[in-house]
Amino acid sequence: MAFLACCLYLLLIVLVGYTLLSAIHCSSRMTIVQLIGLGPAVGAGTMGLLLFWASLIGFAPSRKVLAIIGVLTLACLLVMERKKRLAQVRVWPADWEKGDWWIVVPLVVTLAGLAMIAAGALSAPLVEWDAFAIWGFKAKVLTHEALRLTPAYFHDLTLSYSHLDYPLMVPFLTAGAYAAMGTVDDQTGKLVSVFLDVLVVPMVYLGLRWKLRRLPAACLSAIVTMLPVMFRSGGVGCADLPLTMFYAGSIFYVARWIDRQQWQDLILAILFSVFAAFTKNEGTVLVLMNGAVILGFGLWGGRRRAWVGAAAFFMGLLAIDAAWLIWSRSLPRTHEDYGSKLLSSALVTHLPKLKEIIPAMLVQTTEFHVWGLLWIMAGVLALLGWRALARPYVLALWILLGLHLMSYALAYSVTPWDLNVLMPMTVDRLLLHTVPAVIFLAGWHWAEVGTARRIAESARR
Amino acid sequence: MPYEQLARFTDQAGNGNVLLKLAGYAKTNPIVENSLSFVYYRTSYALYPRRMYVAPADQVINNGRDIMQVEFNPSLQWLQEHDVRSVFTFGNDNAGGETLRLEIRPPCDGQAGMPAAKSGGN
Repeated sequence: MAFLACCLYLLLIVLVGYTLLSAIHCSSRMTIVQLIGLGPAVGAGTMGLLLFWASLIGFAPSRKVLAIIGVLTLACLLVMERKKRLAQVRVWPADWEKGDWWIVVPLVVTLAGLAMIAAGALSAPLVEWDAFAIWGFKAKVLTHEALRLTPAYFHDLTLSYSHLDYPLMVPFLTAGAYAAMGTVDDQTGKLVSVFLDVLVVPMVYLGLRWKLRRLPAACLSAIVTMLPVMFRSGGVGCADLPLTMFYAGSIFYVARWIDRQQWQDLILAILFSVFAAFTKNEGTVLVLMNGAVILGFGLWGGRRRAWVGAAAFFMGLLAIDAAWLIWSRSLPRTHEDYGSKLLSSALVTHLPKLKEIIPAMLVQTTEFHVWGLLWIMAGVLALLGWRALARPYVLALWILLGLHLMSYALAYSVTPWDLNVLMPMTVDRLLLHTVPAVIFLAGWHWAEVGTARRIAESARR
Repeated sequence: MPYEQLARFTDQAGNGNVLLKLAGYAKTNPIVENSLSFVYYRTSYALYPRRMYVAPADQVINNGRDIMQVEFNPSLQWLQEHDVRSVFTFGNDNAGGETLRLEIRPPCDGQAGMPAAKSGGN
């Protein structure tokens, strides 16, 4: 019964996402992958924010709150259906090529990998330390109390180990599952974790498919699914893969905005950026980088639309994230408090530590038992498809990846923990956040391999 | 420390809040810091909305070392005000034998940790 209730809750998330996507892409055609990947990703982020806002005005996640969200969603769907504005699902793609049948192979590999992650996750309750000490604990608190009168938990320094100031996307989504089930059952509740974590694969596929043919996009997505680090992090109940998933959406739509200047892309870039910022503190830094890159390329291009886009990005980000920024302002920071340390002059005194940190991060990328050949393959594809560097969206993604890695290296430099203990424990999890950028770069460079030869051949003909 | 054992302890703790006390070498031996962190994190999670107390609310606790440094020993009045009805004792007063021991004792007779019923083991 609890499992069924949890599945209904996930269905509600999918419906919320489909409704929002239909509103953004009025009357457009949606592929199956967009339906099962993009829609649920947007739905999950939206549901997390809705539950947060409801809690702020005094309603903790409950069946009543979920029922209200469900009724409003159905009402929106009905209205949109009457106005013929619902996105239509395109079951059979118009551009299907003969060799695309080979897609069955990477598809089976992907599904097998995801099934293994799901089976492993659902066979045990929360056992990962961070999962129960940070994320699971917060989910329990949010299930029991609304945020209107800030629960005592958030100011109890004896619980500082659970990082009182961490964002609440994953805890709220989990609390929503507990509300739907009518009980705090963390084993069944891990279905939410599995749901969020596996969504990273269709999000990656969408980004790759933008520039790559179907088969190579599916192969690269299968490689991501089968990464050992995916099995270590998938479905454990932590926020790293959800952040990776939302971040994948944010950088994909930032790249598309830089390339095409379509408002729908900017709206989705803003939404995914907000979701990432509400998932982990790292997300806040990453989305500011997204904004800086949008602004930088806007200035470079000199187009008025790009300028307005950058302003809209920051305003949208601030408007949707404002409630969290205001509410969390008074929360006690832990002794880590990377935000303050990275903005203080103390950062300069810690810079020499980078001589130790950067090589350790580089060595980590070559660890076969964690990454397979992902980083090496991405490097090789970047060399082979070097012409892609002429594309502004590829350049933008390289800049985002560079800033991303630099911010993590700097965070390590100011950490209060012993680096020799901290890095081996966390570096794979942090580098996991960069996987979407790495695989997109691999795919987008791959798309340029042999371009010059093809152009020359077509010119000869 | 197995998850099942901690789950059993939290079930046995009843409705009230719980005090975590350190005994014997667990008060000073840094080798148990990690186990102590785990016991505190896991039990706090399992007990919620009940509480496990290891220090006054204004004391920052990030790990087992912080708990060891506090040497928390609240009065009976404090225990009553915070609805503490059980005490988990972590550690072992006797040298040798089991390295970790967890006991549940009701706080009674004016001194936290006076035995009435107990269960425990590694």
